[in-house]
Amino acid sequence: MADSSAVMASGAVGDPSTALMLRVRDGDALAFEELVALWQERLVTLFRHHTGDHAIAEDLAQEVFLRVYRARATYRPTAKFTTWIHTIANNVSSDLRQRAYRRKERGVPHNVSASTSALGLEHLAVAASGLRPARQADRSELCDVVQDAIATLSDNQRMAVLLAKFEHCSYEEIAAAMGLTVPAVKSLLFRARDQLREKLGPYEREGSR
Amino acid sequence: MTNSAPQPSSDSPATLLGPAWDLLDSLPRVTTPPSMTSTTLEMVAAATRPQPRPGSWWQGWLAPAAIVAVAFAMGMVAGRTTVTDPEKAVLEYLPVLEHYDVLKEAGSEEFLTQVARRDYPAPRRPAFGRGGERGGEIAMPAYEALDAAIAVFESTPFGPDEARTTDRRTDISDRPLEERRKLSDAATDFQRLSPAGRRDLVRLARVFGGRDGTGPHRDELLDAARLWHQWLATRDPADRKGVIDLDTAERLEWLDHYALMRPGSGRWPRFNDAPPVGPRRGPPPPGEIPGPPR
Repeated sequence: MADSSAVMASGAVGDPSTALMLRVRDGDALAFEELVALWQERLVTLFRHHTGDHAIAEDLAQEVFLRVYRARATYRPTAKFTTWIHTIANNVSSDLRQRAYRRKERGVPHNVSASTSALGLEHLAVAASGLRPARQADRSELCDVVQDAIATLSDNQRMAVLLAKFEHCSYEEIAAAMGLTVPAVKSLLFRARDQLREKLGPYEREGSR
Repeated sequence: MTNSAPQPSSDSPATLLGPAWDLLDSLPRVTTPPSMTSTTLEMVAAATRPQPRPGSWWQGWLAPAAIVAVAFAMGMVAGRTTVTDPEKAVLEYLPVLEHYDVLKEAGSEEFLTQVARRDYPAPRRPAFGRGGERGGEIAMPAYEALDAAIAVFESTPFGPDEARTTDRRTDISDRPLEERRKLSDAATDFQRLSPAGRRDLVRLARVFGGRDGTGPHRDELLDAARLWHQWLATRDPADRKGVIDLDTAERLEWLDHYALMRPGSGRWPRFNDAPPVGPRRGPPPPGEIPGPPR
């Protein structure tokens, strides 16, 4: 009863994920399976574009579900489930980043994200020069260029952009998921826009034609 | 794949990102294999399955530590039962160790019994290094060390006794260094004996002290000890230790050699010699240790 009122107060009414999560909390295994089926593609998509690696994305998505299941007893529907799971996803991503940083510190090569790799920058250079001619880039080329442009963003910028684009999160939801303020999120997105414009300028003009 | 896209408001990330927003649509669609759901569920189930309670770190060491402790305790017990502590031996058998040389020379009750029964004569020559006529009957000299030992064995109980050992500890600590060192050497020699050898010496000390109610037998043994001492005294001191270290049969053989030499002949007895004058000192009665072969 208390949970129901909390759900109504938090505006999570009608959120199927929240209802599923409440059932998971009460020990409903079938509800967890439904939750996984409902969210796994969204999470893999988010991590795929964030890391640039599909296998890593699947691993990270599974890690998110594991954390969700382990924390099921402490789940309180004071906010939408989407915000809760986005927060977990952001934490998993941060942990991966820190592990990759530690590997780098120890001199172990990592293949987590192309954002800081020389390979990503080389690809971007090719895209920005050789492919710039006015010929119309086909869809796969555009896909590569956009991926490389996304990879040049900082991890926080990339996560904010991806949450906004693929999870349709508002500033407030992004801020809640990433533990930032709304102005900070706007600032992140503003700088991301400038960087993307710099890399994707020619394609923006072609796309707008 | 994703939520249904809402219409961007005037102040939304979509409007902020501008044209780049639309270009993000060109990113590849992501699909997951149908088996991923079951894989994920299995992974979660495996990761959250209740594990056998690992216990705290010390519990992991408890069993090996217990085994080591038990083995140590068993070793201590085995060591205490098989190897006696020299210091403990000193405390428990102080009278024995104080007169260790006398007892070691006497050997054992068995040997002295044989000496008494075979009725060996006293030596007809003086002790080694002493002047005097050969061939005459020599009065048995005093054996002061044996008399002193008997006095101690008669008056001082020995053996395991906590109360006595406490007193003896104090007694020993008050003694001069040289005496303590001599006791320590005797204790070391005592420990080197076989268990049977140690039992023989302690038994002999009890017999000498009259603690086993041996009565007349005790006097016979004391006379035998004195006779044996007398025969030993005729030998070069350098040879005596070797003779003392002989076992019972070898000692008796040695005595037969020297004590049964024909008086005045200066030669060893032969098989066809006339029997010696006096009580017959022939072969021992059946059941006793036979003499050496002739």
